[in-house]
Amino acid sequence: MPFGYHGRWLEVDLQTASAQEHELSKEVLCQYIGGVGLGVWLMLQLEAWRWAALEPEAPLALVFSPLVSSPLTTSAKFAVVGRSPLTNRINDSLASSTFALVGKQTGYDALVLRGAARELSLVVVEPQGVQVIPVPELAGCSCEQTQAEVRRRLGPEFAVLAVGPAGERGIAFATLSHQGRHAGRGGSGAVLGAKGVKALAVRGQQRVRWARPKVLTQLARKLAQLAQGPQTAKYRQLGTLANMAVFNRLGLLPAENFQKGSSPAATALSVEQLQPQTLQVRESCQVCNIGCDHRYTLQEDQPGVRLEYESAYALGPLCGISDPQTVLWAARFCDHWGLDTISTGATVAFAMECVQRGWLKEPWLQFGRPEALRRALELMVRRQGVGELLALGTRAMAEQLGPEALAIAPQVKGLELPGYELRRLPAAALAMAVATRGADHNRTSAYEVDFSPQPPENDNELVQRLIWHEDRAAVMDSLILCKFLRGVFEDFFASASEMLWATTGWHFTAGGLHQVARRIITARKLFNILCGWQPQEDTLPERFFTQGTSTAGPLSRQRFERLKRLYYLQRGWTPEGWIPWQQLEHLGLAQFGLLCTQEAETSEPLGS
Amino acid sequence: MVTVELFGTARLCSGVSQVEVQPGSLQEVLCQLEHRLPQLRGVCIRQGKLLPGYMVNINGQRFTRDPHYRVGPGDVVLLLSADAGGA
Repeated sequence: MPFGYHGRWLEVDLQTASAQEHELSKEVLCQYIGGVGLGVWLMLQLEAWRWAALEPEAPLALVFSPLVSSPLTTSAKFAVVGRSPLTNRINDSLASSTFALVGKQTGYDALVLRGAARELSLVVVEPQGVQVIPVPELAGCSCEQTQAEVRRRLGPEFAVLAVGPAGERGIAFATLSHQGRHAGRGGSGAVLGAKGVKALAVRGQQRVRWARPKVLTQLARKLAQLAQGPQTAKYRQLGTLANMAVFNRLGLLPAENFQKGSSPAATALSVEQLQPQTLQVRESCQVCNIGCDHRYTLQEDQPGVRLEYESAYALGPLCGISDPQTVLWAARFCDHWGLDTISTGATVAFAMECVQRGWLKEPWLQFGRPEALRRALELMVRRQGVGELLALGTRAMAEQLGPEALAIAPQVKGLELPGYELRRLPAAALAMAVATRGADHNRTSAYEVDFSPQPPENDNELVQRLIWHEDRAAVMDSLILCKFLRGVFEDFFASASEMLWATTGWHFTAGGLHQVARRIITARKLFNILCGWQPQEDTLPERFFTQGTSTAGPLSRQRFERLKRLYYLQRGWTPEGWIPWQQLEHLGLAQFGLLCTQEAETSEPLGS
Repeated sequence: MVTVELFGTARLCSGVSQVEVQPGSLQEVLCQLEHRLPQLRGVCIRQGKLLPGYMVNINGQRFTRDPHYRVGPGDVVLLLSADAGGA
């Protein structure tokens, strides 16, 4: 067994309630590390592109990493990897806390679910075996209720991952929830729901060995100190909600479905306003000493509501809502039902603009009306009336409404946009257009290039720096470490190498880790190509090129296309974004590329 | 005059959202701010220099931490956390 790993993964067949162990070679682990990296390798290995996201045979992987269960702060994380029902492309999302620790103690580096249970079920994974237990009585239970009930039945030593009613009902942006944290983006909750799984409970005591335990302890101590330093102060003191007032002031806060770049709603929803009045408590994930989780009071007699910037942006200004109580109510509603807050808010905002333009006959669904947001969410989760349309997400909804609607649907590849006014942020705009999982701020943090005190001198440098950020994110999401740590390292790749040496005993140079990142990013791209990716997918909503706001003019399509071409070329791809054979071979991906050409019955290089 | 707008921790710990100061280098501007709002000392500024984790934006356009940056009359300086994004 390699240090830091168990060296195996478990494939669970839900139809037969059986499981099969598979070995993980050292070569694969070195090449993909864990988390999202190992997850995309599993998806390629299992030929997951063959099935649509909600088909029973589509695999869904829960992937741990070499750092999980180490004392390194923020390392208690796991990745959920599969095909997204929103994008029909690769999806990876992360969540934190006890499930990562206990999940890894089952003795596997990844758990893969395939098939579908005959009725709504609880899946139990322990070292002694797997059970699929029918739980029809849990239908309709919230994420929190489900977790509490499963632990009551099985015991407190179990960690439980659950879908809410949104996942059961196939809402395309349903989440997987654990201890109030969500693997939120891309609709993994709908995938698990389609498999008839209400919850997955894990228990175990199998621990991995560390290659250099004393060094690991020293690194953990140092990292914990750094995590208490000024680079994380914003997250500790304010949480991500700190962005609200700043983005609004800078004209970067998308409002009313990206028709505006600032909003009067921002003042009431700013951390400066909310914190003195309604901050109830601050909490941390397991094995984290940052404590970014700020909860606000909705009702005095109830636990506080988590409110991140992205939730507040999407459920607030994007829908024209300024009432904090409505936004807190909506955030709690999403937590309870298991809904991605960004996609939820963006979908409602998009529908509001469709009403405004007369494309949707729901006159009550107006920007700025708290009761409209509440009613829309209730209809969405019940899939009643217009809720049936809302449950699809913006792209699928726009496809039903017509090409004009598609031009204003706030999405890339079907995934709804996070809270950045991209017409003012060229690096972030490019990063979101080319991101393999769709509109995505977490797989690059390329906005840091746009916000940098040392702006890029030219477009080549902009792309170079974007790629560096993308590489760093791929490694962080595979180790896995929280991105809130990203500012604390003097040299992230050197620090990551040290952590990997202490946990696994493997020597990675910084260049070697960049190569791992390139492999992971190219593997995701390859997966998308196998799913049918076409170059025109790597773009932004048409309105960004044709309409400005009061704070930004439209993006230059010419510059955007030039940046995209530069990005592809710097990634070693063709100018149109395909992957040359020699790069697949260089990165050890040729075996999967070969499958692609065999499928296409062509001997031409992949996509060229 | 130069307008300094405070965000996040700076505003919460000082209770002030906006201050007018004289033009000068960024360091001189921040020295004046520190003098006017001593609560900011050691939190985001020390001796007119930004502490790690903070930066300023000038007129909603340019981000900088350069103490020699010239801040002219009519400029608006936004004092904010350096880590502008979420994750």
